[in-house]
Amino acid sequence: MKKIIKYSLIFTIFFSLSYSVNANDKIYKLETLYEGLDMPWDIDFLPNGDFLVSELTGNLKIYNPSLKKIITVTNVPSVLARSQGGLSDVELHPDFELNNLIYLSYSIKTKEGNTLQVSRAKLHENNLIDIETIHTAQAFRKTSAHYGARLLFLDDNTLLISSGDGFNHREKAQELDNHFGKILRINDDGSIPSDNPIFKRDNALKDIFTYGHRNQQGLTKDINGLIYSHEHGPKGGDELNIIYPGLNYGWPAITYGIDYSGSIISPFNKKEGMEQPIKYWTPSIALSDMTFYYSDLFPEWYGNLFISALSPGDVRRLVIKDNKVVSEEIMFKEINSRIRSIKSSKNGNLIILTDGRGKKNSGKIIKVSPNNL
Amino acid sequence: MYLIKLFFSLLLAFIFSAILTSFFILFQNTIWNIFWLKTQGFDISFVVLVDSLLHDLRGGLSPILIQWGIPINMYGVIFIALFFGYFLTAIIRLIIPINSMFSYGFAGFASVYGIIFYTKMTFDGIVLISSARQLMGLLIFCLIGFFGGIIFNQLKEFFLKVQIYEKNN
Repeated sequence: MKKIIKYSLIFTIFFSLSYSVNANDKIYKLETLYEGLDMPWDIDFLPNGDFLVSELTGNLKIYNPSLKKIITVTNVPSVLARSQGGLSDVELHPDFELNNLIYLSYSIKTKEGNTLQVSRAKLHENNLIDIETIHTAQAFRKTSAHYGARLLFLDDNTLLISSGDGFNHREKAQELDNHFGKILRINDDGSIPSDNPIFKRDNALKDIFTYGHRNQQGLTKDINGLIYSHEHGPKGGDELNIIYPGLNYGWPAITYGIDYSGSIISPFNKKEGMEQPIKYWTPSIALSDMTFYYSDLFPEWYGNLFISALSPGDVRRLVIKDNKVVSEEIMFKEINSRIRSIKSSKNGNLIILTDGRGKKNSGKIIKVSPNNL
Repeated sequence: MYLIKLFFSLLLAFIFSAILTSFFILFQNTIWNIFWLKTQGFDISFVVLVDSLLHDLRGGLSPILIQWGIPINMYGVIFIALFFGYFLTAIIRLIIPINSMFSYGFAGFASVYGIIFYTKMTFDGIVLISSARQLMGLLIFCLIGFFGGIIFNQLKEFFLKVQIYEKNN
């Protein structure tokens, strides 16, 4: 009996010490900068240090981190805020300091059905002026799901737009006469670049950059300009892809997931002529956004890819070498919420958005900064 | 005793017809997906086809929605829809003398259509069963329900005759 008590005591002391060490060895700390957003979807950083935040419900807001105040931008285009649709991505033009242009992606209702639209406008004193629609996706649907809606400016100032498969129209991702399940590339004024990929099919739309996607909510590029995209799989099969122009990414002909009903979508996950992901997740983790990290604030994270996830809600830190994922770390589980976006700010902090779905006005902006400051 | 036997006869008729309907619905969905892959240039061997069919029969057991806190799979959805359809038809037939075979056939047709309608209402227009997203697929889907209803009626009539014969003898 005495021996049992003795060993129990030793074990308890050892476990407590161990826990104490682990609890303090995180190199980062989390700070909630703001709480009260209504289903925030994306964030970008203004040159003056303010955050520009889009809410799926249709609002565009500017958050001042110094004053901890939020202002609603006026004259935002009206959107179809229903189910997965609404105001989605917000991107500053690469030359924003010269032209004050911001780009918005959102879902709209038209006579032909719901679809994705991209507009640009000048941000002038918390108001949008000179609003111009530059692209309307040829992907009309009755549902309000799978819009994709991610925007990315490339180094040549052309704009990539992810357009999802509309859920009910998944087979059209393999056809080139529509925008379902495609990544599109346009000039910053909406015109079509002359160096877009040329497809062998006569009816191929000229703004298609890649095809065979499902619902791509992640688009980013690394320091060398290599484009990465991630997309939601069905039941399993979320994918991370490296994007090359003109290629077919296989959905729904090849997939690592199955249908929500339990049926196969395809018994195949490989086919010649269709690209393989560099990583996939089964079960699904609901990838929502991603960013490469290139700051010295966290030197151990330099060059890593951070991917935010909605289900159950965490961030995946991927180490990528020679276009392959060599390791994955699950981070920020302690946030305990659906994570909608992750971005690297200019001063090296990571900024996270939680969407607070299910509880109105509970979306947060969270800062990830070093623990020693 | 007679009533208990009658109840179990009806239950057997329902279960058998519902299982048959479920199998054919799942088969139809598999064949629809496989047919589309063939049009995309995939080589579909007999082994791949059988493997896919078996996968989908098993896949029908995994939950697709949670209703009243209870996880329900594809078989459950079909069973529940058919039960309500047949039950309603039985009530209507007490009041209006409609031909038994066609009324249960129509009940099966409407029940299966009701599954699609319900998922569209619940998931904002999304049709969870891929083969039912196009008109032809939806029609085949509902016709399977129609024939399932006819099978239920024929089994029900057969078991009723057996019960009556046993009772009289």
